[in-house]
Amino acid sequence: MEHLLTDHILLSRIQFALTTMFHIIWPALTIGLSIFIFAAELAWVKTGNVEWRRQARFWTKFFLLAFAMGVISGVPLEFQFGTNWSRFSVASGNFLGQILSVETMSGFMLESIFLYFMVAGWKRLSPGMHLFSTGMVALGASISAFWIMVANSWMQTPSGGGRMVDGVYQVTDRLAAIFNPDIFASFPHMWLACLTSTAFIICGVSAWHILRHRHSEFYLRAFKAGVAAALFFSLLQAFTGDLSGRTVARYQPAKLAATEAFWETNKPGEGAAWSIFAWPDTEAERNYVELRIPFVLSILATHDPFGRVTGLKDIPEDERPPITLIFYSFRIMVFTGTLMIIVALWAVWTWYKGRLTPIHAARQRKLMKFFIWLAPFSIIAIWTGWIMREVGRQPWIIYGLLRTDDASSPLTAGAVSISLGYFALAAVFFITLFCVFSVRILRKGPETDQAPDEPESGRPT
Amino acid sequence: MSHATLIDLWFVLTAGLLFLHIGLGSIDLGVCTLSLITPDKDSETLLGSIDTIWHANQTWLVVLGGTLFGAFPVLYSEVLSRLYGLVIVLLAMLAMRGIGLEYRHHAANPRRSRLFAGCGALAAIVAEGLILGTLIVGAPAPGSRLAGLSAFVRPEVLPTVLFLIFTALLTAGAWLLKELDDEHPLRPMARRSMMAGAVGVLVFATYICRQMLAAWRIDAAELHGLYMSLAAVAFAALVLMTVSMQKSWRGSQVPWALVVVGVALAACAGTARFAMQTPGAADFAASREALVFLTWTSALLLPPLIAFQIFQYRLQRRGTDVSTTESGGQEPSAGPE
Ligand code: HDD
Ligand code: HEM
Ligand code: HEM
Repeated sequence: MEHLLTDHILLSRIQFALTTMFHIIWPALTIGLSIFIFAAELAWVKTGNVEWRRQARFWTKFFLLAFAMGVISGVPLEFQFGTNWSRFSVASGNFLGQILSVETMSGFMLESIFLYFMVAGWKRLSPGMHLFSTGMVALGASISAFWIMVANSWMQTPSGGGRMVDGVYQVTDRLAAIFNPDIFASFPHMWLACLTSTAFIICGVSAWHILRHRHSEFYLRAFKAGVAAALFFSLLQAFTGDLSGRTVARYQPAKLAATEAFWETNKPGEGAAWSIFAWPDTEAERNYVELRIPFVLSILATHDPFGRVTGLKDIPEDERPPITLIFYSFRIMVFTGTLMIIVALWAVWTWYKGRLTPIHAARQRKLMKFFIWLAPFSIIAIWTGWIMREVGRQPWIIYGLLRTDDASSPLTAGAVSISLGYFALAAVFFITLFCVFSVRILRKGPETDQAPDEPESGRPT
Repeated sequence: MSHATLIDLWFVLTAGLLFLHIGLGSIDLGVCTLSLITPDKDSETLLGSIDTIWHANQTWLVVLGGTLFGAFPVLYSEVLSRLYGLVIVLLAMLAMRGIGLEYRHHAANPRRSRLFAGCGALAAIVAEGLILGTLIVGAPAPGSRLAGLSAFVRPEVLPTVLFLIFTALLTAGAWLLKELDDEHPLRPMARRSMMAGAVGVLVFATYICRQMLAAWRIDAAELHGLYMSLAAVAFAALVLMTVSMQKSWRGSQVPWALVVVGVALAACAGTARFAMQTPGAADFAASREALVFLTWTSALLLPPLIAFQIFQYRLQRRGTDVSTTESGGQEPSAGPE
């Protein structure tokens, strides 16, 4: 506790963690929703069914609420590299700065310019042009996710150079730095996380209304589309998660060992066991209690039952990340992911059996309740995944090259506590605001009639 | 290209982005500020006129931040960490403004949201003025106790704050003249705001240049040519701005207002660049190779972005139909058709 008041580095870390975790909610929603809206609009243009147009317009309202949140929370993040992590910014200035700059010029500008056409162009643009604008918004959001993930994955597996001169990382091969080993696992996994989470949130909101018989037909349409997406993406998500796991095993053995509370390197010819549950004791370098399944860790990390997994004891003590937090974070994510697949399969089965009709759907109480509960957990899964990733790379900020302790700005603990307090209050306030306003939109429901002044309410031409 | 040339190039480009951020951002910050002093129903008209542009404008701040990091990482780190307190205040105020603007469509009490937007905008202008002003008159030492907040009580930074306030009045006034109907009762206010803004911008830009000359001990004579040519351009822009208000002319004042802001910033940036022509400049910049990469990517990305934004402004002229307002209970505020 005493640390908390005097250690400006710890405070900055908490602040960065808090603000990124707040931020990530909104891009996850906007990346997912923009693609959902695009798909709905495409269905409208292709089939002429105005129901799809209503879907697109209804979910656009949430898109805008989330987008505004994404912007106001993203700007402080970008500036925090300079305000709180100035020595890190100098150290990474020959790579990270240009990547962020390219990101803002490609992703954000594309998104924010076409957002104007998407919001204001329903009447003025032809359906085709409007569809194109929506597509560009979706593309812009995903492009910015790509570049941000380049920045982050380079911190995890720095490549394309490697020498630090006067505390500054020297880049010799920029392409190798951009396409560093981790980006191939982390970008697909993150991007799919956005889509999966959004699909489950759409399903959750729809399920809530279906259970209460409100606008059943409208929400059933959204629900079915959401379920199809949820199953598809959550299956892919598990595959890319597996790839992420193997990347960690290969490049960040300390993170893997800590995530698994795994102390002793397995001997040749023996498989490493995986703990479902453990309570690590860092002093004694062992787990108090644990429940282990043989071979599973070797298989997960290397796809070979006898694959070698480095134990924590073989890692210098000052290079070990904290264990308990990431041990449980990882398990919450994987548990949620597994549950998602099961529930999505169940929903598809119910659909196949013909029970997802306006008359029958509300009777699937258990199924609907599962979806309602999974909606918040889809965000929790993203948070816990990030906690594992970022806390797991401690004590490094640029893996193996620069320690977090050497990366901070010369700030006073007082200044950072005040800003941290402000950010915490603002996060609570903004989340409350978002919820209040979302409920308001949901209460109103989708517009039941087309507004009289809308010429293109029929089949698009 | 040599490292030194690249640094020069990026100095100019960063100044250009500062111009886009201040010039375009001032439009919506200024409109929000003006909405504080107009009656309720007019405030809604004012805010409605920037609904679709404020976000793209704010994105220039993000691009500016990214570019500063990309081209001058050391400068980025030093400035932001020394002015910690002010930067946090700026970010807080921009957040308040954004939420006020975007959420007022669904608010039960839109008045409170409008107040958020207005006060947030005004405070953001002040905070940004304090930041820029502090850069001119000297930033506090690293890790200073007040984290830069001491700028609040330093009278020397006041001219920069006023400069930004007048910029906001100028650009917002010009914008509103374009957006409001010919007979709209707010037009006289917009006109006054624009004219007062133009004068204020030029006066304070001159004052700030003098401050810089004094602070950095530069001989003004060396910059004489620059100042004279800029003054000529400023004069021409003022004349065109006035003439374009004639009914028969039917042109927008926004471009001329932006020229005035551009001239003022060019004078300040020119002076600053002159002062920084020390051998140490390379220490602040990214490596040559990094700047080459940045140059190629921006050559690819920036022109279409600017083109799109001009296109967007031209489209805006033909009126708005904001689908958010449709369900928000307020009338969409259309521009002149
Ligand atoms: C909807 C959210 C979600 C779901 C269902 C899953 N993940 Fe995940 N996971 C993320 C959301 C996420 C994330 C928050 O997006 C992370 C953090 C950074 C990243 O790239 O993705 C992540 C990171 C992440 C990492 C860490 C990478 C690193 O530290 O560098 C691993 C090993 C996994 N995931 C593995 C899995 C597995 C085996 C899953 C089984 C189903 C799984 N994830 C489901
Ligand atoms: C993708 C771009 C990202 C970059 C470049 C990045 C960078 C950083 C930096 C500089 C820190 C502070 C230094 C440190 O503690 O090591 C940090 C910490 C942290 N970040 Fe990230 N981050 C990114 C994304 C995220 C996201 C999206 C989340 C969560 C949703 C997240 C969660 C955290 C957490 C929990 C910490 C605290 C770890 C600790 O201090 O122990 N990060 N990250
Ligand atoms: C620490 C890391 C991060 C930084 C510095 C950062 C920075 C920003 C900034 C400055 C904005 C506002 C841009 C605007 O004005 O339009 C923003 C929004 C956005 N960010 Fe982040 N971001 C980070 C993490 C992430 C991650 C991990 C993702 C996705 C995987 C992401 C995706 C987006 C998207 C799609 C937007 C657009 C706005 C929205 O859709 O909500 N960001 N971010």
